[in-house]
Amino acid sequence: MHAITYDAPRSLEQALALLRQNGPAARVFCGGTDIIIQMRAGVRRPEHLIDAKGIPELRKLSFDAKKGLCLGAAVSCIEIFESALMRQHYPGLTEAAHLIGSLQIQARASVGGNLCNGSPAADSTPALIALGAVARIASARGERKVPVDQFVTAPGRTVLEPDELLVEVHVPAPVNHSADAYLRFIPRNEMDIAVVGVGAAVTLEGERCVAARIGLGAVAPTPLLADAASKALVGSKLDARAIERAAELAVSASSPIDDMRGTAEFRRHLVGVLTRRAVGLAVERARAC
Amino acid sequence: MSELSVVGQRVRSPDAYDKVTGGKGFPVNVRLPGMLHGKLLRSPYAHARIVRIDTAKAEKLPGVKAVLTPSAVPQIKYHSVFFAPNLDPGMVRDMLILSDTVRFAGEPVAAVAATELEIAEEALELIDVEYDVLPAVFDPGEAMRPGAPQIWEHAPNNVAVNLSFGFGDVEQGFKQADYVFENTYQTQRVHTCYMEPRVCVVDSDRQGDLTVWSSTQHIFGLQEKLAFALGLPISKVRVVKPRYIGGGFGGKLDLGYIEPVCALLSLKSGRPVRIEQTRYEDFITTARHPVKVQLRTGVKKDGTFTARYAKSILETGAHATHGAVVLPVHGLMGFLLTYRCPDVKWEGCAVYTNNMIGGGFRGYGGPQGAFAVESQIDEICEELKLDPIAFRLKNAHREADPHPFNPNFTLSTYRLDECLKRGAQEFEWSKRQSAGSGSGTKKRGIGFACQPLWVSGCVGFPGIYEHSGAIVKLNVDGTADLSIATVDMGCGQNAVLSQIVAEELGVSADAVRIAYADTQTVPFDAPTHASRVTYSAGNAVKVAAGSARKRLLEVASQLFGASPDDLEVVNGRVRLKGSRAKEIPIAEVVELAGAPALTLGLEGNQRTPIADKGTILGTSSLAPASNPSPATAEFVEVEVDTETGEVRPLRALFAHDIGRVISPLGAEGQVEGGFQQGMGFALMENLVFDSETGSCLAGDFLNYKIPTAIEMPGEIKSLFIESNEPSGPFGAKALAEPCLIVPAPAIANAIYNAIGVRVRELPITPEKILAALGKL
Ligand SMILES: Cc1cc2nc3c(=O)[nH]c(=O)nc-3n(C[C@H](O)[C@H](O)[C@H](O)COP(=O)(O)OP(=O)(O)OC[C@H]3O[C@@H](n4cnc5c(N)ncnc54)[C@H](O)[C@@H]3O)c2cc1C
Repeated sequence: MHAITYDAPRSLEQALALLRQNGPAARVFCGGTDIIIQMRAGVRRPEHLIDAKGIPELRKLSFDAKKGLCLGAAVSCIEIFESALMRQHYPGLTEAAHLIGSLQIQARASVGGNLCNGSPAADSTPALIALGAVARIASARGERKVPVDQFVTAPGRTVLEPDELLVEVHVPAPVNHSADAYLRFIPRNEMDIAVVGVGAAVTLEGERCVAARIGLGAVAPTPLLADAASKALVGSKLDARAIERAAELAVSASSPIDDMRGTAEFRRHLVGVLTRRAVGLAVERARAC
Repeated sequence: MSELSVVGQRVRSPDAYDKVTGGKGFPVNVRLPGMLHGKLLRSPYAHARIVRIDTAKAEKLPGVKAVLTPSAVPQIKYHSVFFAPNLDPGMVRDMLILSDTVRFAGEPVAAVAATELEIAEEALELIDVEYDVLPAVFDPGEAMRPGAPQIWEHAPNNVAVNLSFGFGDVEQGFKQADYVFENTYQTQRVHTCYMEPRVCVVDSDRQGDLTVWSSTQHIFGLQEKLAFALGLPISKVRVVKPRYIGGGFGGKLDLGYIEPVCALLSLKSGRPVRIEQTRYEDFITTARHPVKVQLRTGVKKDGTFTARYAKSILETGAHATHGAVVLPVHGLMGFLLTYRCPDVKWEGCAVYTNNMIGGGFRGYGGPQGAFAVESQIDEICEELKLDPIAFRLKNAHREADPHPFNPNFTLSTYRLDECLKRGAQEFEWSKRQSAGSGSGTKKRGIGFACQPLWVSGCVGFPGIYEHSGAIVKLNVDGTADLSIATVDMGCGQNAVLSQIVAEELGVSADAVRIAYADTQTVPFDAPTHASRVTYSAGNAVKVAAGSARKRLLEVASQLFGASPDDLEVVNGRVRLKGSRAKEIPIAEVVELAGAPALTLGLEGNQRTPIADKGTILGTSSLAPASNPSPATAEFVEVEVDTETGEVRPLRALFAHDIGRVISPLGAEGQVEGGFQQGMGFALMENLVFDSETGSCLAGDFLNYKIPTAIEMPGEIKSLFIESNEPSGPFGAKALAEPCLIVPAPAIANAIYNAIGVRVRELPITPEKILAALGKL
């Protein structure tokens, strides 16, 4: 047993000041669906908990056709998939948020927490990577921006310094004929950790693909951008051959391990299958809009 | 049979209201004044001798009231299985409450009781144990090899039990076969996943008499085993019957470590002591035994069996306990007796390893047998181009055949043929395509399996208790109290027994109340296990209710001036048979029977109408007459994603001959729950252990996968073929286990039908499917 202090700051400034005061012993949290479990298991032992749900900037979900999406770090997954705008413009990210845990978990869990927890298997992270999302980070020292594909540095570790917090993620505005998709594989349909997760986003000009990004989860120490696979789609007509090629490159980009959830071989196989399917779904959506 | 008014009705469970408003009756909610919280210190090693235990620091921690080590524990070897007598020669007595040798990772070595749970946890960390670590073995095959670490002195090659049964001459039978099939099937370790943890509170008084509250399937078994392990006469141990428990599925059918430890901690501290296991502790407390079954089967061209041989290697873990009984049940009910065949032989052994102890689990050896037998029949039919249903009909036992298990009985009701035919028709079995013929990446397939023979209790089994008793007492408000030891573990036993009593008495189901009870106040009942309660306890409550009704009519006859034989009870009222002219509510008869003999009136004392005073009640204690067999067939359709290996059951249909359905709601619930557990066994559940250290890697519900509501097929149909079993209460037989026995082979066969590849090792995970398809 050890005592902890709990603060619920009402402004970003307050939160940043608390973080500066308490340093590495403090931890910001949103839904608590990761941190509380980790504290119970003794994996993390923070002395100060800073509840971010009362900070207005972190609760903002705003969309602008030109500027894109600002998704506050503490916005819950339910708020995301109940938003018609989210479903319309970012169906893949919305799907990812809707896959996290169960409804009860989604009522608390946030995309910010999912990202900051730094799990290689976080569901919403590959979806954010596919969309080219950028994280806005703040501390009492100032602000900086980090692309989501560079945010997680190792299992459970991120670029955040002890005095920093994630304010929001920014996702560029979708252009015409662009769309995203996210698929994951788990042994059952709910309440599970991804064996493999694949996010894909494509932009079309006529038949041709002019931009594409593929994010992979649970197949490397961190979620990652499958760069070569993404580039292989650009310029193609997104026919079966092009997608197959991208799937092969995604498999090469992954470096999974054997664990209880699946062998490395199985995971590599699934990266191929899910990349094909996620890209296919994104293309289908992009053609329809 | 005359018309029934309560039996067969969809009545509400008597516990429903209580459960949805907090479930006060669950043993996990028992709290006593002054109660201490106990915790077990468990070994990190799978095999070790304890050299020294130092508890001095723990004892000094404020709040710690008692510490227990092996030296303070009676060293009486016992077997923990509730339904078998302590000294039964078929059982292996290798359990000690705490011993100086640990044989699996997690075996308790010491215990503490403290005023707060957190203090008890802290105290555990202060206990210093020096272990002499011994070599361990986790694989039963390796354990049997010469030179393997020897886990018990009494078991050379680590074989705990060795058995063989058969009749005829199998070698002769194989000579007569046109074809001989040989295959090996392997099942995994799965957990019962009851919701309420194993939990108990034990209190002691100044004379050392113990009172026990526990989430258990059997109060008398707990009393008997606990007293034996502690070296006490059973009269010193009283076990309180739980109103209901939060699931058991066979996983609460043996004496755990917690009850004797709490008893000793309570005796030591003079205070009540409670231990509630964590989910992790529950996972390493009980599991279905993994079994490897080698089958050799001889058939004629037309599919008639000529010889059947099986060899089963059952892994019992660190102690024999249930393994000694699961093994023969598996051999007999899971293989030997299932179908007709002149020459049959089964050999099996239960093997010790340094894994957790295997336990009871709904089906008790049956699922491991059925997975092998029913999968192989499908393989045979595929090879010989025979229809799997016709094949079973050809080889199955028939109604009125001698009971294959006990020649003193016949299969007086046995409608497997109807289950197969009507099930096939309703499921549209005839539309089944040939294996793997679908196109596209997602392929559908239909499968089928049956459990031809099973039990309604344990009549005829050596070494297993099988009798029940009840007291039915009528109250002045017209209700009846049913006192019985049977524990409702969530299957609706309370509802079924109330319905039988109500029907027999002539009252409504909600007029029957289940009484508070304990081992002192009610007659013995065998456990809630073996698909036995509706049949066996049902017969006992029917007899008790019948004798209460007889007494009621004798008393009422004085009010009618008629013979009791001319009276009947309808809707809670006594009347002359068939006449509505005069009806007297039961309440009135009971009240008059209990009223003082005289009343003081204006004209002096007057006699009340009934001379014969007393409480109207009936009792029973009896063993059932027979062990009639239910029959079960299951059809299932699955969809297999041939790229990811995912399997989704789409719809299932069960056809059961369970005799008369007493409680349709309860019966359907059993079937659906059975499918869910069977599907988990088939596709995903696996209690995995580290192969180096033997520690459990799947000790929570994130890592141990059970199907959630979302995985359940959209449609599960229960088709009940209601034969009318003459020896059963209102014609009932049994249901509970077979509906969990058949899903694994049915699903395996459906997967084969979808994709044309066979997986003979459970669970059939996506990875195994992809590997079988050559994609990995
Ligand atoms: C039953 C269950 C099922 C689950 N299923 C899934 C699943 O299917 N997929 C999946 O990906 N995850 C799953 N999870 C994990 C978890 O729910 C998700 O990772 C969730 O998105 C975390 O969000 P949160 O707001 O609850 O995070 P929190 O627990 O609040 O925080 C997580 C971590 O991030 C840090 N943090 C949070 N916010 C900030 C911030 N603004 N700035 C800096 N650091 C911050 C915290 O300090 C902590 O270390 C599941 C969890 C449970 C309990």
